[in-house]
Amino acid sequence: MTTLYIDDKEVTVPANTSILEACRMHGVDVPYFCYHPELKVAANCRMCLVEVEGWPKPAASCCTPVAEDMRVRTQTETLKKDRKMVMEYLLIHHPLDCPVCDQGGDCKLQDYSVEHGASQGRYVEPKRRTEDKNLGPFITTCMTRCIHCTRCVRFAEEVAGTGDMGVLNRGDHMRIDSIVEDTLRSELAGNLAELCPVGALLDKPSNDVSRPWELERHHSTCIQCPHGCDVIIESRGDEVIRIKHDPEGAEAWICDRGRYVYDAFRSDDRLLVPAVRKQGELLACDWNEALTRARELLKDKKVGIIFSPSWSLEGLTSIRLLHDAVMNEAKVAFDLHRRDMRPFAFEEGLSMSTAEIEAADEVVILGSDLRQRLPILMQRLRRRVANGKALTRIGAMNYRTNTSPGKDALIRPRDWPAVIARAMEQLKDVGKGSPAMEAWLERVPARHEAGKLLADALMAERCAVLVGEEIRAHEDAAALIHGIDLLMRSAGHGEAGDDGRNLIPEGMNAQVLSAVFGDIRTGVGELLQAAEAGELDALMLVGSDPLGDGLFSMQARRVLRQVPLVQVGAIGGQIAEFADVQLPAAAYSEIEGTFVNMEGRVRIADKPLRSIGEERPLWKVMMRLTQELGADDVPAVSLDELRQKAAVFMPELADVFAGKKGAEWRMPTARNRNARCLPSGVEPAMALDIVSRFSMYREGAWARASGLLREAGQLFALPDVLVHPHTLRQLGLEEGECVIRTASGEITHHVGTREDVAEGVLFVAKRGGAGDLSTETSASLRGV
Amino acid sequence: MSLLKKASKTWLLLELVKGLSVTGRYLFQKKITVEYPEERTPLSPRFRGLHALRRYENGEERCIACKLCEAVCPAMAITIESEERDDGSRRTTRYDIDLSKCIFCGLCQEACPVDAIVETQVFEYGGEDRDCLFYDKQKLLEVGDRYEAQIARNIKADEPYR
Amino acid sequence: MIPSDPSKVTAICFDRIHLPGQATLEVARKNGAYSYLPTVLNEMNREQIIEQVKISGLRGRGGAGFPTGLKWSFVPRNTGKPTYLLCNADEGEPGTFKDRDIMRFDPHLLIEGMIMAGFALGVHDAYIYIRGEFLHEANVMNAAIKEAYAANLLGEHILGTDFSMHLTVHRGAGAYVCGEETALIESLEGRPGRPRFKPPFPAVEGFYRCPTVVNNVETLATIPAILEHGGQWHKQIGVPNSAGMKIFSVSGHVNKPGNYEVPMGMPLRVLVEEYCGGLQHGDVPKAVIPGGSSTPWLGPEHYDVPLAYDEIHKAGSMLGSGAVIIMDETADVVALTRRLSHFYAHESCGQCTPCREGTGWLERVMLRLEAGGCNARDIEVLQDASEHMAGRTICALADGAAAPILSLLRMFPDEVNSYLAENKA
Repeated sequence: MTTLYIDDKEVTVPANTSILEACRMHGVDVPYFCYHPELKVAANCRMCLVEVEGWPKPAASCCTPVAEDMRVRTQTETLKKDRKMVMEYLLIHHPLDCPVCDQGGDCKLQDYSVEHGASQGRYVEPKRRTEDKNLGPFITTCMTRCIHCTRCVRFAEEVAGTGDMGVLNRGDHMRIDSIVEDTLRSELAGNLAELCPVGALLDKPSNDVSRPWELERHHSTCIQCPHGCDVIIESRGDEVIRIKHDPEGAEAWICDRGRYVYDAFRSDDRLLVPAVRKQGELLACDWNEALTRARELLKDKKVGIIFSPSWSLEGLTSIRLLHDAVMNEAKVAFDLHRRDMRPFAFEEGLSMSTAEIEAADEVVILGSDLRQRLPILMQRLRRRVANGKALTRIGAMNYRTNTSPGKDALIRPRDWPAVIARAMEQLKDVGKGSPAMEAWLERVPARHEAGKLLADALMAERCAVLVGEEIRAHEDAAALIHGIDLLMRSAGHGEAGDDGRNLIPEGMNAQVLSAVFGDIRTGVGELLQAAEAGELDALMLVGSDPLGDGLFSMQARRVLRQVPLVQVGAIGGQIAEFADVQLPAAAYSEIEGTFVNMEGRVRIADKPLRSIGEERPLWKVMMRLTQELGADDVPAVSLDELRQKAAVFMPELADVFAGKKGAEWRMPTARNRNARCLPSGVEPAMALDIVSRFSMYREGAWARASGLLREAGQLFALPDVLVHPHTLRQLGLEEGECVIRTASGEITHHVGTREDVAEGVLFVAKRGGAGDLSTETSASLRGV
Repeated sequence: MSLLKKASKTWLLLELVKGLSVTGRYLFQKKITVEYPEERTPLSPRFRGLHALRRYENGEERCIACKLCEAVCPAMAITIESEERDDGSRRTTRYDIDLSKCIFCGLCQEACPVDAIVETQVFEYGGEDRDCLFYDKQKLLEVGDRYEAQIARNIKADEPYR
Repeated sequence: MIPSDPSKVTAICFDRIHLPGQATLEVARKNGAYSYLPTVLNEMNREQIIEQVKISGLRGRGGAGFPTGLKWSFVPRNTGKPTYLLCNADEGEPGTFKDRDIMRFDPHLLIEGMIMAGFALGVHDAYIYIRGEFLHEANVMNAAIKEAYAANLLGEHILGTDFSMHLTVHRGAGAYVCGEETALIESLEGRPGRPRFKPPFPAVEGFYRCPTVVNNVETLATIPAILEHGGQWHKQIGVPNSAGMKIFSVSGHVNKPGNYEVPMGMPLRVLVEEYCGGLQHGDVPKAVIPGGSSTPWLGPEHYDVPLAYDEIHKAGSMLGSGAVIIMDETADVVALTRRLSHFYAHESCGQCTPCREGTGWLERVMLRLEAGGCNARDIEVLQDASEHMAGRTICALADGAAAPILSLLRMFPDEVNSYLAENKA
């Protein structure tokens, strides 16, 4: 700790803090443009000058570390003149177009100009000419306004990892530019508009639409991925104008999926009024009529319920209450990406916070396309690598991560048992084996060298293992996760306090789902199979879209054609085609509710937007349905009652709602000590493994309903079916049309190639003709 | 004494005469009655009447949708929606003034950085229903087109004092 | 040969510069080059060398005048990282042309100095960052380095000792700002030459974030003489606190412009009149730039100032790189300043706001002033814009850009006034 004096006030800050940070910590206002707490220091704007007693010249406070007994002055007359001059320098080429600039009213340059600048400029020479850039679908530019703070350049380099922004030329010809013309290929691009202190980089979709002062700000939680970032939804009236990251939230950035999904709030795909199907056509009706029709379809029937995990905790609890009150026999399922329903040794959810993962000695990613799945966590890992820390990745895909982990292995999904076995052998060699391990090893004859990377990483003091979708969706997932659990525990990473076992869930609220539905859940595959066999009379989809997402689209399509469907949700999408009744439920922006993210962080949204149609919060729809289906007593009639019921499943929640747990409290993840599944030893039927490729712009009903994300998805799209060129060559094929054969038949489809994927794997996008291939786990290829 | 004075006032009808003298004086003075609508009083260039949206000489509308008038309006009478036009400029898609809310304070024209929204000297905009007090962009531009000469003259006249 | 009596020393860096063929190793060795190197490598240790350089009072000859021995002693040891020695041969300061003569005519002196400095600092890789325009000098240096490698003066196990050092010449691309040590490091690393902010100083985190010493050519070329004759010997040359000889690059309105190596502390008048053949016109100069274009100007009242660090500082300027530019009464100071502001506007790296915007602004106002389009308000702009540029940026380029304008406004207000629109018309 260092003690210094800022404007004669004694303050104590950690050693090596910069003067600017010390000022910020203690509420002393020092103006700055180029400094950003999440980026490296550039010290180029020279706005943050302060005087230090005994120093001949003013110092840039952002890059000057504090020293013991330093006496800093921030408000002297010289500094005022200096700031006035810096403002004048910055404004000589800056246009006076605040009235047409979207940043106007929320602009650092404007604020500081009022606070520190002169009322009139003295510059009368010609102004600089600039050209605007094309920076992709989300960012619009007006480079005359640029003040060259290089925040965007540092962001592209340090955070996005793409490095495709740069500084060209020098002197007052200097300009910020995309290094490669017309590109900004990052899933974090939207942050640039927030980052730019002036109006040079602006949000393209909301450009010229609104003014900062007309917007209401609603704190909310993004549900677009399990990360559940804190966001601020900005709206004018009840129209959402844009989504921004919450400066008080846990993460410094948000991804484009979470930011631009707001386009879906007002899309044609939104369910805003109840509807029933009459003579083959869905017609809007009132709530009573829709509920009556729903009762006819559901009452005393054998029902299957598939719901989406991204509803609020209250919404999810209400589904359980509906089940308990009137649908005891109903089959309930939610995970569209899990084939193996045996209990996992460690269930979905992270045992560490993302900050802990970033700080761990070793991090291993096992089979996950993190950049698309969890872009914000990937960004932390990227920073980790940039700081020289280890990152190991084992999986089928290696592309698009914008970082180079030191240790990297490409493997096929069928190699997982061999990889884990190899790691077990290595642990055994250093005396960390166990009888359970022996039993596991007995079932796996093969060894894969990638296991060495895993075992090496496990030797570290603090090791975080991130188990991803390639393992979770595996047909033998429970056995693989048991194997990893054995590895982790024998390496000492399986105990409370040092638990490194993180299973990345598919959606939000993983911990809630384990607690509330652990005893009644069934697999989506199993449910659909029962429906296909005629064992179910009706299907209720609550926000779930098994056609567009997940691994069961083929069965789902068959089932939807033959079973009556009650659709409850906020987005209609392609499911609407099959619905007999539609009950609109409110979007996540429109409800008061509680959300739990993959780390177990609990966030309560309490300032929602107004509903824009007749949609109601899910819990109200469910409770009304309960009543309609003949419950004597509605289980909960208020949010408070519902939260009490939720606390029955998760007793800690009572404290959370009472405000007794701090913001840092995290809900623990379920563990099943007795889940001892051994590898099946069954080899896939065909030569190539199928891996379903996730796209953040396309997956999830919300993203599909957003025109903005759709546009970006098309721009950044890869071929729908991808293989390694070697795989094609070995089969004597070339890039182009091929016949893909799976257990469910043959299709002819274009097959593209990429070098940075595992050989022997067919990567399929969930879209178009290739979409249904995700249903299968193996395939073979031949020429047309 | 005072009693005497009071009595003389009463009996000589002094107050009546005094009052009638005022009447008499005005009876023969020049009349100041303005025979509206045949006659009109002169109006100040700063008169704040009906609102208008102006155009540039080439026909381009002046308004750039900065929404400062909307922000400054104390009666919340102005509603603006905007978007980027195809040529990249920022333009309104909606510009409504509800004259039944407006208090004619003139802050909108003070706030306007491009002299787009102005108040004309027109004050005869009454109609038979409330709807006629609801001015949308089209109507405001029409007002502007009709009175452009007058508006320009008034702005010029007021210029030295701004 | 350099005499060991300090009072008889007439040249250190230029001692052998006039000898024909001195650029070749054979001739250079015959004339005494590398003669003391084995003694240094075999009999001295790092501490002794640094101690001698400290005693010598040698100050950096590149411009800032920082004590060389002190700079060397800041380099941390045992960091687990390599230490680099970089020779700053990016002689870009307008008016300076001394280093190119050393490299052109006596490259082995620089190499010898670098070997000794490298030995003192435990360096394995050293670089000469040479100005892009110095093609001939770079060729001479490269040829000399090749000869030195062949003679085992460079490379592994130099002269059979445990010491190994490699020397590489890197040609810059012509940016003035790369003469600033951290910009030089950035440029050498392959990035645009933009100065880094300090701390951390290069001695701790420099080239590839490793401890790095950057020294000027003249500084390094002085090292062999210091080690051979001892620090005390060097200290006795010149005046207190400005020890040794210094090469002055004299240019401008003198009869014999050129490089002159003289003991420090020599009065300016003596240098001009005895060495440079006097002024072209008049008895006293109109103005003198004592240390390169970035230093404030001195007026005729300072014609007798001793050319030493402290004395020039007292007179209100800096010794800088020793580029003395003399202006006699015929000089058009406004035109000269306008030309200098063009140079700084062109050479600003664009990083810091005041310098990026200020240098261009100043140039444009100066152009207008020269063309007769300025009024008194513009003079205020010139004053304000230069004053608040100097000392407010990462490197000193802004100070250099401000110096001529501030000097002009301070020393020649009448001449500036005569350029104003109302007076021109």
